[in-house]
Amino acid sequence: MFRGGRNIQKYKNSITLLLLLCLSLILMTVNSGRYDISPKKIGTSFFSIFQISASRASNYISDTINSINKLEQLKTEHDILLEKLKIYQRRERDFLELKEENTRLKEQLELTQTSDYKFESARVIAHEPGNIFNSFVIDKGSTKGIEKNMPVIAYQDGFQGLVGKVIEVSMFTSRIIPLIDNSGFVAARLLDTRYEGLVNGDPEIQNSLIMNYVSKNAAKFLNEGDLVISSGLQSIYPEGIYIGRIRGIKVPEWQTSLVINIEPIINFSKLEYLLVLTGEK
Amino acid sequence: MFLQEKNKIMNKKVIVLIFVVFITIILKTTILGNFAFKGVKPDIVLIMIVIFSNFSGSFKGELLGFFSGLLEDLLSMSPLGFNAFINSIIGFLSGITVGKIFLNPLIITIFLVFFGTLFKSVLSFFLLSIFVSEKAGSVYTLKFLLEIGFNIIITPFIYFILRILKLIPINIDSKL
Repeated sequence: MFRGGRNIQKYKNSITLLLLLCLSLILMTVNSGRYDISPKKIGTSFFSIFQISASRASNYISDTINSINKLEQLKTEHDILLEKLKIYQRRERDFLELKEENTRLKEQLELTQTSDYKFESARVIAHEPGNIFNSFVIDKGSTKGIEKNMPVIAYQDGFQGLVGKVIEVSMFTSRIIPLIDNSGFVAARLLDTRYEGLVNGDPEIQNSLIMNYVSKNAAKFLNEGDLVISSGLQSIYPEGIYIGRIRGIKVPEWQTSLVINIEPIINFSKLEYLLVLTGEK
Repeated sequence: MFLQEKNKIMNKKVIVLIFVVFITIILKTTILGNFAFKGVKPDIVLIMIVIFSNFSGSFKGELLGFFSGLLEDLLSMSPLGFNAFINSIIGFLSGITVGKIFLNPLIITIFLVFFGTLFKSVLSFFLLSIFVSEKAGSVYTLKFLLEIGFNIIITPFIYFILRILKLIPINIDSKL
């Protein structure tokens, strides 16, 4: 007994390490999705409260500091804006006339109104702690009706662009996997030429997308700067949402399709507010 | 009595360090994310584990590694247990050098952080190949080299912060 006790003491570190590694492997196996237990969801729900608190505190401090600087800028801008207002009032009159004309033309072509979606607005509060995975956390969760696999969009520079989809939901937060991650795919279409393909994150270039399975016949019709949108075909993503612009086209001889590099419409490094599409109206 | 008091102090330091690591991870996902260079963030938690293990041994190092890794997994997209597995091994291996190498502790720490980051990438590759195969290829990219450089550069800062907080001893010969 005494010798056994001494041996255990001698190998305490190694035994402890083995136990911890076994526990880690069990957790990874369970978390891989084969079983319906989700300790991660429980833990994420609890610890995400601290993320929200830290994010709110830092946002409050940075907003306060920024607001002091902005006061001086605002006075100058106010004067400039008054002048601009007069110009825009004239333009608004022209816009209303054009809008009415557009409505009349659409009626003549018997185009139906595009379906609207219900959405939940959210703010990005946290990012991935490491450098391998690509995701971010928003401040809305299951209590606001967010569910797994809901598509996420954002408005930037006048475009409604596709951001990604929801992959994890806890009570108060949700985790979004962005389009630029190479593990997800979006059924896409070129806006002008209507050729279809699959878009996913480029594993070699950061913040870039790649479109595959576009017919080689399309090469002569494509140009840099052409817009790519979601096709909505057998996809969780609705049709017609901007994905990006063509940045480069490769015609590999060993493949039967093109490889198109796409610059995302959404600048993910500037992404702050977004919309989670929760269903159709 | 003296041993009991010493154990109490050691346990308090471990608890304080776990709390410091917890705050670091929360800050890493929120505020510190804005200081990424080319999308790469330094692995402050790995550095803290290496520094602490180098002074306090494998047992405390692997425990700190496991719990800090578990917390990182809860707040990231990685499978639960992924970082816990890696950080446990790094904590264990960093603690093996206690009392065996007599060089400036900062220099040892920098070397351990370098090899720890390398080892982390190897383990990440193998674990991802098994559990998240589509991500295995994203380990060895330019980000990996930037992370090594980043980790080495900020190691002295983390080292001195932990010394100021008295979580590691000031004397070379002291152990926790």
